[in-house]
Amino acid sequence: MNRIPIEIQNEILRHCDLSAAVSLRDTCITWRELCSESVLASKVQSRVPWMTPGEHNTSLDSWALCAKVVLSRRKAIDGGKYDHVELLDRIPNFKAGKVEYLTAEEVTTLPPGYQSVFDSVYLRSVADAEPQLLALRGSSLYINNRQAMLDLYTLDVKPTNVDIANEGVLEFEETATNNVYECHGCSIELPEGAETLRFYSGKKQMVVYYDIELEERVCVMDRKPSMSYKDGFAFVFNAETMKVHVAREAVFLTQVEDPYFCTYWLDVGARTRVVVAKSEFEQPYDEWTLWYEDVFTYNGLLWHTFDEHVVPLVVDLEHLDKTGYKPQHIIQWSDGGETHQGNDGSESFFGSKTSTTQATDMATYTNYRVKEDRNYDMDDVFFPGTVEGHFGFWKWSGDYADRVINAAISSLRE
Amino acid sequence: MVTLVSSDGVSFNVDQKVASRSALIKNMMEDIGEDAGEIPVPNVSSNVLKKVIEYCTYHKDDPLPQSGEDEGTSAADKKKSTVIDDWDYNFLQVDQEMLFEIILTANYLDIKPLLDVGCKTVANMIKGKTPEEIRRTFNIANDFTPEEEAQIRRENEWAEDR
Repeated sequence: MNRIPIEIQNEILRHCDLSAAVSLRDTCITWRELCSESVLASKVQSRVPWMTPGEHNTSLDSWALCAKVVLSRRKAIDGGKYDHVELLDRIPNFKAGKVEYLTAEEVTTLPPGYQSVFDSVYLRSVADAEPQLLALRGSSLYINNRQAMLDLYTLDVKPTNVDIANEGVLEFEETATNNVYECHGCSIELPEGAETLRFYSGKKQMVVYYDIELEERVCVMDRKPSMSYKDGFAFVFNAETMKVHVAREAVFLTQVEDPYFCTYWLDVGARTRVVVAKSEFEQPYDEWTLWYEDVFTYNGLLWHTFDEHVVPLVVDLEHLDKTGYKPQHIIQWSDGGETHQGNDGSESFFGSKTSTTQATDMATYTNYRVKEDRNYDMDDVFFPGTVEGHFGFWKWSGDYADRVINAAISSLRE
Repeated sequence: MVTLVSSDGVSFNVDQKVASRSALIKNMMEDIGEDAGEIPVPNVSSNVLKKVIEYCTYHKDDPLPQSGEDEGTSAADKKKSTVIDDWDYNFLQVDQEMLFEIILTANYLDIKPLLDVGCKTVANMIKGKTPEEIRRTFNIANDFTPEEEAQIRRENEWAEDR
């Protein structure tokens, strides 16, 4: 085969899939040279479109290494190293099949009837000197924390006290009994000397942050009319490396375990934590890491995003009651951008890079992505959603978004 | 009719439509005109030329690929591009030497669909094989230095752990 002209060798290579190209590359010097970085780049990107060498201290310094990692994960999946949970059929309107690339319609205000696909999501989390936090809730855009709220239909601006970063903090009262508090219709006993209290509640659990003995602690308790920290699962909380997510059905803890971060389900009954997700690639960790990291629930599943990158995960919330339940990561992508679960040719999505809009695709699971997603301007703000049941993307250009946001902030200052 | 003459002097009378599957011969016929007569096909032996004519005869009514037309880049086109038609598949069930001769001839005579299907066949032969199996199948000499071999091993082990 090595006697044939180079143009034919290249032609053969063009028809090789990623695994064949990588194997060929390891046969001899000629093929190693032919299977160049640019050849492997296009083959890797056709399978894992967001993969790029050299990102995030991953040591994936070349396309060849990216290719080998993609293939070794494929092998691990085939070998049953990763299990898959059949969950997607529970998602309303889920359709398996190819991703449809939709053009995002550039707008100044959102169309009437627009409904966001997220209950709540951070948008445009671009880290400059200071991150600008845009949180979308329904048709309102919250700008930075406790600052401005913008109606996306009318662009009306209102001041807001909503604490996006600490959303869900509950009011509470101290009772006549020492260290017992009334909150959200429950009475809660906390340890003596606990101060700087913050209460949060999900459907099944209550979470209390408190300072005691010069450290901050978090206690997760199963919700009932009368509860005590003694029955709960308490741990020392370090805000620099930990973040607690109170989801409706369960409480999760994300913890930086440099260079990875892990998300745990907090199993109150067994007073233990069960890892539900670990970043497979090493993550850069800095002061903003957890700021951008977010967990939210959608359609009964847990989703995890970080920055515009990494780690959407899905956990089967219905089975979290069972002690020892081991959730599995289920998101899969395949050649040609099809979304599946565990079928041949699919890639483990977990731990791969994604963008907000790709995460949106995951969350809606209706296989849509923004057409210009791979090279869109990071300053653009995308609004994924539906109008009359039809899925679409609407966007503000970066310049327009800046103008609207700055105008909103300065109008409130006046 | 046009007569193609192989490197070993064997003549093949073929329909102009069949011969036109080769862009090279088609251009020659257009340049020379109706009385093309004998067209020598040097470097192609009679047994290979016979096979190539067989391919061109079967595909004589296929639409000709437009010049400059490339494989589609959409996912659907890519998927399609790995599929080989049954007849072509059977046609290319030949020994490896003949397969490469056919590919070389398709390249020389500029028969793009045959070149494509030949290269796809080779790509399919590579698929699923380890580097060592590929070397054995295609008689490729391993010319890596021990250091390069060690580097490949390290790369593979590193990727396994990711």
